[in-house]
Order: sequence, then C-alpha cells, then structure tokens
Amino acid sequence: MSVTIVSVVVVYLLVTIAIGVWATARTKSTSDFFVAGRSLGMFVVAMAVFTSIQSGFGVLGGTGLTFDAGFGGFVAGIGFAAPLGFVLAWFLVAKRMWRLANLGEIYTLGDVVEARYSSRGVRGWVGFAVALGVIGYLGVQVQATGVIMAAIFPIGTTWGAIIGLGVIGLYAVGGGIIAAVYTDLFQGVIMVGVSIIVVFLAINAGGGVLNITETLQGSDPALASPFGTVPMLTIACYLFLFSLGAAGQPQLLTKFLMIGDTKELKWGALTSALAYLFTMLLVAGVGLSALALSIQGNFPELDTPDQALTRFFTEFTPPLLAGLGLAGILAAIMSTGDAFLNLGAAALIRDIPRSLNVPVRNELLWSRVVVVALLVLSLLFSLYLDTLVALLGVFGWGTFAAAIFPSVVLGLVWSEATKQGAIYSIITSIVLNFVLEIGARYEFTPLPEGVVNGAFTLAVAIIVFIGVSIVTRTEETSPEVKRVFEG
Amino acid sequence: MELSNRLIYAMLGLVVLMLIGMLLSSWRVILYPLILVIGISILFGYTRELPEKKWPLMVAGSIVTLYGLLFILLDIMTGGEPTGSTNYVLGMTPPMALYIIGFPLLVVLAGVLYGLTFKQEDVQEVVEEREVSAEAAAEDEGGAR
Repeated sequence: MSVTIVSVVVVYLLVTIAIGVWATARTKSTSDFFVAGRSLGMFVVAMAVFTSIQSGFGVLGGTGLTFDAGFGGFVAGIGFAAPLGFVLAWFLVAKRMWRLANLGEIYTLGDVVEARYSSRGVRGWVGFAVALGVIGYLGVQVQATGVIMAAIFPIGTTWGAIIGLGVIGLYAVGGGIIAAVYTDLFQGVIMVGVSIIVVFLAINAGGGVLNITETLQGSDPALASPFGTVPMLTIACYLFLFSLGAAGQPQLLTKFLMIGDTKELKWGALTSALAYLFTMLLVAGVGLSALALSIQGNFPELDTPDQALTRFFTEFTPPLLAGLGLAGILAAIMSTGDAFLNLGAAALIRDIPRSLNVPVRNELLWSRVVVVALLVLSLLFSLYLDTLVALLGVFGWGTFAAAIFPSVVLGLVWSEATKQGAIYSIITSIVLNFVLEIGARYEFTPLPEGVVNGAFTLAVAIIVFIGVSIVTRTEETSPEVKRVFEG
Repeated sequence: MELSNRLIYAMLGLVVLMLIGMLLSSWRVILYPLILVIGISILFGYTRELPEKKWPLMVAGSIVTLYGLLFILLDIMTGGEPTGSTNYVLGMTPPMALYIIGFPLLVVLAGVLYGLTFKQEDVQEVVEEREVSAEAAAEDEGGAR
C-alpha cells in the first residue's frame, strides 16, 4: 500500500483519537455520556444519524451487492428507503421524543418506554432486544474493521481488528456519546466528500454513463433496469423494511433525546437524508462502473463482490483520494460501532438493571467499564466464536425494526397503545426473526421465495402491537405523557 | 373516533394487506399500500394541526400521489421488458433515469416540506405544561382520597 494512503488513514485515526480526548474532558455525568447533556445542534445530530445508520454493510456490502446484481442489489430498495425512513422518523417522533426528554432523566430507549407505558417490563424487553442487536452488530463491525485495516496496513486481520477497536475504545470509553457524535460528524463529512468526488471518477473510469449502460445491457438487460436482477417482490419488501424500519433503529431514535432546542429539528431530516443519498451515489456509481469494467475484462478479479469498493479505490483513484476513501470506509464502520457501544452500555447498565428494580449506583463509571467489556467481548467473539457472531448478526436491522418501530414509534403516536401490546410485539419480533433467520440456515424457509424475513416480521409485529393494544385497552395514560402524543 | 385511532386503524388495515401481499408473492399488494402507510406516517406528524387545518393533508397527499405516480409509471414502463426501451435518458434506460432521479427527489421534497411546515416549541412551555399536569394529577389523587 502506498505511503500516501497509509499516511491519510493514520491522520484520520489520530484525529478521531484527538476528538475522543477532547470529548472525555467534557463528559462528567451520565447525561453527558448517554445524551451529550442534551446540548447538540442540528448539523451534529443529522450527521450522527446518517453515519450511525450508514455502516460498513452500507458502503462495502452495498457496493458489492450492486456489483453482483445491479442497481436493485442495494440502492433501489435499501439505499433509497433508508433516507426516506430518516424523514419519516422526524415526522413521526422527533418532537415527541424531544418532549418526552423534557419530562425528566430520559437518556435511553428504556427510559422512553418506561415513561410512556409506566412499565418496567417494557423497559426490560426493549433493553433485551437492543442488547441482542448490539452484540451482533458489534461482532460484524469488528470483523469488517479487521479486514479493512489489514488491507491498508501490513498486518493480519486479527491485529487489524485489535488496533481498530483500540482506537474506538480510546474515544468511546471516556467520551461516551459526545465523542461518538463529534467523531461521527468528522467521519460523515469525509464520507460525503469522498462520495461526491469518487462518483465522477467512477463514471469516468466506466467510460461514461451511456457506455456503462450499454455494457450492462449487452451482458443482461436486467442489469440496466432500476431493479437489477433482484425480484420486485424483494425490492417491495426492502422498501418497507428499510423505510419504516429506519424509524425503528435505536441509534437514530436516541439522537432526538440529545437536542436541547426544538429549532434544531427543523432541517435535520433533510440534512441526514441528503448526506445518506450522497453516499448512495458512491455505492451506485462504483458498483455499476466496476461491474461494467468487469464485463469488459478491465477490472481485477475479486474473491468476493465486497472487495469491489476497496479495489476500485486502490486501482482507479489517486493515492490521496484512495486514502480518504479507505478512511471513509473505516469511518462508516467505526461510527456505527461507537453508536452501538453506547447503546449497549445503556441497555446493560441502565435499562435491564432498572427493569429488574436493581439500579446501578455509579452509572457513568460502570457504563465505561461495560464499553470496554463490550469491545473485548466482541473481539473475542469475532476471533473465536465466528458462528455465534453470525447467529447474533441475525439480530440486526430486522429485529430492531420489528421490536422498536411498533413499541416505541407507534407507542408515541397512539395514546391507546398498551404495555401488553408493546411486550407481545417485542417478543414476537425476537422469536419470529430468530426462527426465520436461523431456519434459513438449515433450509427451513416457510415464506414464499423473495419475501424478506425482516419485512414479514415487521408486518406481523405491527399487527400484534395494534391488535393486542385494542384487546387490552383499559389503561390510563399519565397526564404528563398525554401531551407527548400530539404531533 | 379520535384522529390517531383512525390513522392507526388505517395503518393496521394496510399492513394486513401488505402481509397478504407477501404471502401471495404479489409485490403490488405490498408496494402500493406501503405508499399509503408513508402518507399516514406523515399525517402523524401533524395531529396537532388536524383536523382544523387542511394543509397537512396536502403535504401527505402530495408525497403519496407523487410516489404513486412514480411506481405506476415504472410499472407501465417495465411491463414489457425490464429496461423499458432502447432509448436513453441522460445515458440511462428510461425507467432507471426515472427511478434514480424521482425517488431521491421525493425524499428531498418530504424533508423540505417537513422543514417548511415545522413549528418550533419552547422548552420552558413544555416544562411548565409538565408542572401544571403534575399538579393536576396530584389534586385528582387528593380529591379521590
């Protein structure tokens, strides 16, 4: 790897550590650690929303899927639906979450649902669902960090993962969410900047848009269509799961608790959606261009489609841009990782203990300890328990969407929702996702071909939530919370 | 019936329809109800303004109509062959050009409409409301005793 590329990535890593040191000095309380003292502005929150959702899967996997199946492989369904989901989240719950945060010490999703339903049980189940997802997500991010670090530096994937996690630890342990959101801001700016420049290089490398289209058409007409070789049934499921489901992602929802003034909400939806859409230009541009080049025999042979983006950076862009691009990929992985470390600490130190009526005394100290423990555990899991990581990886987007969209999002817009509805929908989402995803690994596929398990589970969870709430509709909502329901 | 109840029941009906669409492998029975669910989600953002004011219906209606038109057009264009025709728009096949420009544009439009219709709230107002509500609740409890 060229000295320029390595230098750019080293500078990037040093800047994130410096932000962590600065944030650590500002983190003095549990409120600082989990909700940044409710002091964040629009741009920081919007970029943190975008970067915490845009993960290694989004840029590396997304480009790989586009390289494999055309525009429909990722962008048409997932990539376009997610920013729509950001906007829907703002419409549905931005103000409501902000109002709820004014009711007292509301730092986590568990705090939100306990205030909403006056139920420790719902808090516990939300904490459990978040903890499952966090461990799975972290394991995947650790593996991706190792692969990228090993591609940049002359080290193996294990040392790559250790160094990458060490950097995340340096800023996330001390600085909590303040470090996370400000590194997210830095990382988000890199991602957007690189995306805007590289999309033009990608189109140029492919010989122009028309040449790319004609090459794809010549190989398979479907590759030049908006849905690629992916069935429309799957695209429709993706649009459902990744639009409404985005509004159910905890790393997005908790950002609304960090805003001090409602005016900061005004242009947040547009900003985060635009930032995400810019990175979709990169995914689509590089994915389709690399595919066209590959058909023409002008792209290096890949072991897996996921290598398409990194190979494009190293083979088709100048070293400085390649360095920024690889830093951008690391940024996508690390920004998702730090968001989940904070969510994990919140679930394990605040939500689950409080649901069992055993609150932790020094939450700030123990949250930092848990962040370290999560880093070590996720590293050990990814090194020695690969199968477990794969199994827990199941509890990713789909489970968050199905467990949290009904119980938290619909719970905040519908005053007649009940705690029973929330608990049954969360249990349904965890069990159904587990059965369908694990079953798929053992050739148990009860759903029609093309239907996405997560989309099916989300639909069932919404129906269970509303249905059970209608049946159990006897509860009174606390007067303090009633105002929250107004849009 | 309360507005939020009507909206949630409509959403329930549409999600049931989408579930049926999944079981019947019919993407249209998933996609078109989804567009209406998106409209309902937008309306949930305006429950303070509805039903007195009509403009929230126009905001949600415009997004639903435009998304509906986008997918109906795509459905028609790709009916015969996936790439529509051999003509090109901006170097892309017509359905690709329509989708790659139309879908993000509507996301941006929804974000702009959110910003333009946004009404700021005062932190102090919310805190005071909270205190008044808490006092009222305490009085209710005292009266009940």
